Amino acid sequence: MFNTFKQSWKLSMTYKMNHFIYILKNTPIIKHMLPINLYANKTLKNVCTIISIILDTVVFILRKVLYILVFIVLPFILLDKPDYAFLWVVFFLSLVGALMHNYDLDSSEDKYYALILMRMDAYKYVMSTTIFYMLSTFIGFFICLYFINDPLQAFITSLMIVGMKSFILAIKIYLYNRYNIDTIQTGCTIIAAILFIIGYLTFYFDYYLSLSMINNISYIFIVLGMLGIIYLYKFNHYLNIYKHIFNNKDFDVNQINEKAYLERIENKQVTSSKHGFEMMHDLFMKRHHKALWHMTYIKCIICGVVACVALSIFIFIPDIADIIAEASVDVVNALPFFLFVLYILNNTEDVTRTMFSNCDHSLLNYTFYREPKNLLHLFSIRLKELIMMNSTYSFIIAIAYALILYFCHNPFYYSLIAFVSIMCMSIFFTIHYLTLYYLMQPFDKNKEIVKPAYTIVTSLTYLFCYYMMDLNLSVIHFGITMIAFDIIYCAIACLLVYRFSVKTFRINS
Amino acid sequence: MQFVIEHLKKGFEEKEVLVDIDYTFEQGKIYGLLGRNGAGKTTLFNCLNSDLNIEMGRFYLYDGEEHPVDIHKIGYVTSTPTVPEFLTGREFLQFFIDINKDNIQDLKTIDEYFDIVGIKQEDRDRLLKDYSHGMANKMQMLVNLIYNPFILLLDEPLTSLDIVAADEMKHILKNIREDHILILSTHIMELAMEMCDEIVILNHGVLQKAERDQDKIIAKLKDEDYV
Repeated sequence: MFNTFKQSWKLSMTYKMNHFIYILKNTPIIKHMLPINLYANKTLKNVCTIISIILDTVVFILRKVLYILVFIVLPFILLDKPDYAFLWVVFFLSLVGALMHNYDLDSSEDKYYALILMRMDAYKYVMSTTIFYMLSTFIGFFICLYFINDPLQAFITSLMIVGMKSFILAIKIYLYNRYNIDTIQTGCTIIAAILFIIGYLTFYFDYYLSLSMINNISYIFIVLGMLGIIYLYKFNHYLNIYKHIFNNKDFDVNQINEKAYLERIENKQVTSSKHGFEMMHDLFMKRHHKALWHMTYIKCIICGVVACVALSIFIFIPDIADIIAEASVDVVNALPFFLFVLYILNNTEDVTRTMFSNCDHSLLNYTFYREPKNLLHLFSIRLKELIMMNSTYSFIIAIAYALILYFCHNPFYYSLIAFVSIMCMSIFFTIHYLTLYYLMQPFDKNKEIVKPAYTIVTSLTYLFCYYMMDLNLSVIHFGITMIAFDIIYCAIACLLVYRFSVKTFRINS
Repeated sequence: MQFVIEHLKKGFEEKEVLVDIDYTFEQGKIYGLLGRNGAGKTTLFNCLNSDLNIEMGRFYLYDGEEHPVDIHKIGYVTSTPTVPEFLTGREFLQFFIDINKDNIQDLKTIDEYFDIVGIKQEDRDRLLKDYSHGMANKMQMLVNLIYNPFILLLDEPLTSLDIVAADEMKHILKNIREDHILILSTHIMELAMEMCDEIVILNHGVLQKAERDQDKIIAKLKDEDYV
């Protein structure tokens, strides 16, 4: 059994290492510094394996710490409760975790290759990985709970968590062997959601059991957990369960993605009075209307509601501006915050993925589609559509903020600059992502991102916007700078697309 | 008109896939490109279609004068049909004709084009995502026939077509060959023998003309006389 665990762990490590090497080999500049046959370099792989183990361990502990801090300690600090009461929350959260988590009973490529193609023993695989998981869960929780409670309580609670997980896993295996897996998992999710709400509500309204009762329930689950382990040990149809999982859910992430994007196409009768690329784009948008516009409508509604509430406050409480000023809330210098808001709300990246998946990945194989004038023509059609799409909710945000500035007794031109600046930010993100799509074409035939440079640029974009969020810069300085930057950026982006997209916008072989 | 490839070279990292591709293709012929798996047939097609950058060499058209092979002059029919799933068959053809109407000679109606490849009436207004593999293959071929590039690269063109459709496709290709250069890659020896005027083998990164003898072709691919 230990050998099986070692083999499955090695297989999973090999995937990670090769994936990491693949990213390095496709990163600009770095790729030229690397030796040719990096995949055969055992030293590098060994070093990376050690680093990966250390990182995985640190991340594992950090996740446990974060989980306990956010879900247990924080509510405990915010509400004044007795010391032991947090165990009540732990109990419910552990139930939720046990119901939601499928441990190794989920579909993934490496499991398919290990169990089906390489014919690894499914029983030994499940046993070894489950034991490892339970042990690491026990150790992780014990270490974390040790610092917020006495060692004995931490021990009992950690053992209860493991017992609960084992027991519920055994029930799941029993049910998976007899009924539809998706239905069972949906049921588990619903029950988990209900338990999550009950756990926090009862905690909030002081409807929790005493410490001795909680511990008694813990002992019951420890015993049930042992029974669960015995059942799991005796069960030997794991391969059948995996075959069901692999048949029910495509193990191939690429097929999942492809299906998900194809399902976005609405099979409805639509017509277009346009011609050529305008017609093609019109039909594309109409057949993807729900997928592409649905979220935009929701964003507009949410922004509208928030804007109405905010503006109503200013209308019905005339002194609110003075109250805000006294509270030192810096409304005037809050413009950078909207950069992050608009970054989050912008949907161009998702739209380009849909465009590639359901349109460009096929049409880029045709020479007429790649002709320079056709590429640029379609780029301009798409740009106009996406600017319009993202301008809907941006307009609401821009108007609301401009009015708030005005109600806070700021000069009119502050509001004007703020309005224009926010609209420019929206246009900037639209052009930014569409340009990246055309200049990098990051997707391969399986619609996965295969250009690390694209990931780097998008990550840097996120970091920059996040950094800007907390900055207090005046509307005048930031607003004018933003407007100027957007105009220059848009001009450069369009020029780059014009010059280079013929060479870059193609299928990645 | 001839299609000339001179000393074309393409490799991936340390692996030389196309070592020295040097060949002249004549107008009016169907060439069967044979080679083992991994020989570089698809790589060659991708290079000629400008989907991959070549490291060395060049290719051009020649009729007493050299002409570049721009993207209008070459078409590529992939083995896996790629059609825009969100359009119906009719919309796809309509869109294609709208874009290229200045370059299309002898323009027919859309239904006439469908008749050429045998797409039934009830399928013409269905979304391409609901087309079978064979039907999508026909659509892809049809679009290339309408576009009518001088050089047509066909990567396993008859795979997954039913017997009747495959037979129809063979007739179409034979009918258009007079004004074109057709290069067809296949693993089916009988198809190559039946359809192709000339057999070309891609082996060890070079193209060689082969005799129309099945045993000799196999021996060549097995490197029985390779030094």
